[in-house]
Amino acid sequence: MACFVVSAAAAIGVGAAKYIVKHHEKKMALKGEEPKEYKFGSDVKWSKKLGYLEMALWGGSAVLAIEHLLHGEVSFVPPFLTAAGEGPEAVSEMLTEMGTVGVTMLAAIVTAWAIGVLIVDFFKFKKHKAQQAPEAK
Amino acid sequence: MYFLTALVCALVSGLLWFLFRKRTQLHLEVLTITFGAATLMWLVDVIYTAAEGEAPLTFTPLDGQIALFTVLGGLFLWLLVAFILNNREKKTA
Repeated sequence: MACFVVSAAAAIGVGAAKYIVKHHEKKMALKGEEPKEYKFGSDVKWSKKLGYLEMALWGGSAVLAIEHLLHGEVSFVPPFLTAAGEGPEAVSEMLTEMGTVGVTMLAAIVTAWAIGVLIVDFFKFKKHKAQQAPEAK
Repeated sequence: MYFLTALVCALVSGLLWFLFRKRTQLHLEVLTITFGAATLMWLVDVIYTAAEGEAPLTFTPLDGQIALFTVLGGLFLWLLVAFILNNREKKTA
């Protein structure tokens, strides 16, 4: 009914978090307090990682919004969510769906993103170790 | 039907992203992530529909229409985001 709203709301939160992290990273770079030694996951900045999560949440929500629009579950006129104008039972059903399907969708995307970030960090770390090994010899 | 369409789009765009990985201005990651996320979200929907005892995949004309419009929507989003990102990169350069 409106399961994509959960992901869209999370995208706003992630977007805000991304800007805070980006600001912090810029501040650190200006102060020259960037970490000198290599750490697992420090190759790709957190603002970029969060940017990918934001993109996934907005992209997925936008595509699902088109589907809901064609199904008549969402409209361009207030109250925008069709179920909201169909009485308390429909609203209750909509909220239940958002709480179950919507939250599971969000969890699935965050899990996929976390796995992706771990894989990329692992390969970057492996590459860094391989580059350091001949130098040590 | 639109779940399968999104899955095919995610696979094709992922392959294109890999093939043209050096042409960063194309921003094919936007297309892949958008369709990948939509596929994942519809997969969850399909699982819930199947758990309720309903047919998880339907092939009605409306489903075809939705599949077409979601692909067009995804492509439009990609063009828009790629345009914005490329302009931002030009400004900072």
